Amino acid sequence: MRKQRSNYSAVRYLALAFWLFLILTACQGGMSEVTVASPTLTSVPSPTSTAKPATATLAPTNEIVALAGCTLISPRPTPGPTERSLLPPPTEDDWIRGPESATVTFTEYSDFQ
Amino acid sequence: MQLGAAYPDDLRIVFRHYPLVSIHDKAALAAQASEAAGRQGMFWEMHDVLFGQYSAWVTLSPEDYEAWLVERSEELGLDVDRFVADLKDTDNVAKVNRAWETGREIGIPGTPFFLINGQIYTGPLDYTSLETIIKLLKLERRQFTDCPPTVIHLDKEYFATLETEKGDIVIQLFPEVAPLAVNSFVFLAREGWFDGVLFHWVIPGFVAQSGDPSETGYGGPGYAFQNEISPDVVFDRPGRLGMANSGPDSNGSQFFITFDAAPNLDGNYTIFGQVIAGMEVLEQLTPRDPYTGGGTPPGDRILHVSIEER
Repeated sequence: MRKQRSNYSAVRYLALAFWLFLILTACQGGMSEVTVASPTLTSVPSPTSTAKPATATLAPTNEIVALAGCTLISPRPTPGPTERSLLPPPTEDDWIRGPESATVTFTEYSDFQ
Repeated sequence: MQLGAAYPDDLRIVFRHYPLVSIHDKAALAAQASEAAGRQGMFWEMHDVLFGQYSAWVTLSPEDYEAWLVERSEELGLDVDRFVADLKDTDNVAKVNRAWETGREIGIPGTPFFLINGQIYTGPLDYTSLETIIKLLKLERRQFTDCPPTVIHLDKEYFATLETEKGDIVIQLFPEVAPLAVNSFVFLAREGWFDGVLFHWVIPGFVAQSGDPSETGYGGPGYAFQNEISPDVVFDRPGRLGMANSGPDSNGSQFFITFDAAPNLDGNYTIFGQVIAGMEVLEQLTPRDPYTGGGTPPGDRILHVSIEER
């Protein structure tokens, strides 16, 4: 499926991007689901997408009544209730740098050796 | 970590010991050394020394390693006597041991074990990959939680002016050919989505691509819409405005403008406009290819996209 688009390299990178998101989203489900993609991202177009050119779906008033053909990309599903307790939030035993208000938190379990 | 310095407001780094004492003979000692330095306010400095000079100490015996650590503490300007006393202090040993036991109880499989915003991350840990994730997570805050409302009228004509520092590029939009793409573009332009956004991928003779505020080439507005392919409007000339995608019906906010005819794109990319003025501005955009590795020039930015409805 990707091969036919390989003549346009931006596409490959965008596809990679989705993989990145998939990796992120998949992790939401816990370790056992690391390879499971989220349904929103993999789902194929809704039935409306197989319809004729978009102009055919337009209302006679020359106004688009509804934007059939657009779907939301939910970048991350809601985590399950048990996941947080498995991986504790920062404690006073941790070493932390960066503001609490940061958008991104990296937590690393690390061994110097 | 350099990323911490590059994103001081956006990134928080939490370090959690997980010394694999059963297979690493100096893991506990190393952790204790970082803690002992931490008691003098220099945890991260010792952290950097331990990782940075890994090959210098990894083959040492535990006894020699201890001496090596004391030398480093002196180099860091620590109170050496205090460092030596703290290195094997009961509380210190207990803390490191507790960290190991906690990790084991949770079932942390090994190190490094990495979480991003509390979620397990198993992807690559190099600078560029992690930076891409930071940029995308930052963009997430700006993404829309609904598909765009209908903002265009099909009985009107639409013109978009891409203002850049090198001049304006004027584009006639094709609402009848690609109403979804035009509607989204007009919506995003009016929301200021394109303001300050980079032409991140500029390949002379082919396309100039923009529309991703994360500047990674991986970002989008939070929604995706279908391809709108017309057999009558094809990539047969320069100045075609097309939607970038990551496969069929994955159009978001990234768009490209062709420098030339590009028939190899026909059928796979929505065309939703045509440059009617300012092709020479487009030609002046700084070539840039972030996907080939190596450095990339800063590039050119869209200052603003204004929409004219006639």
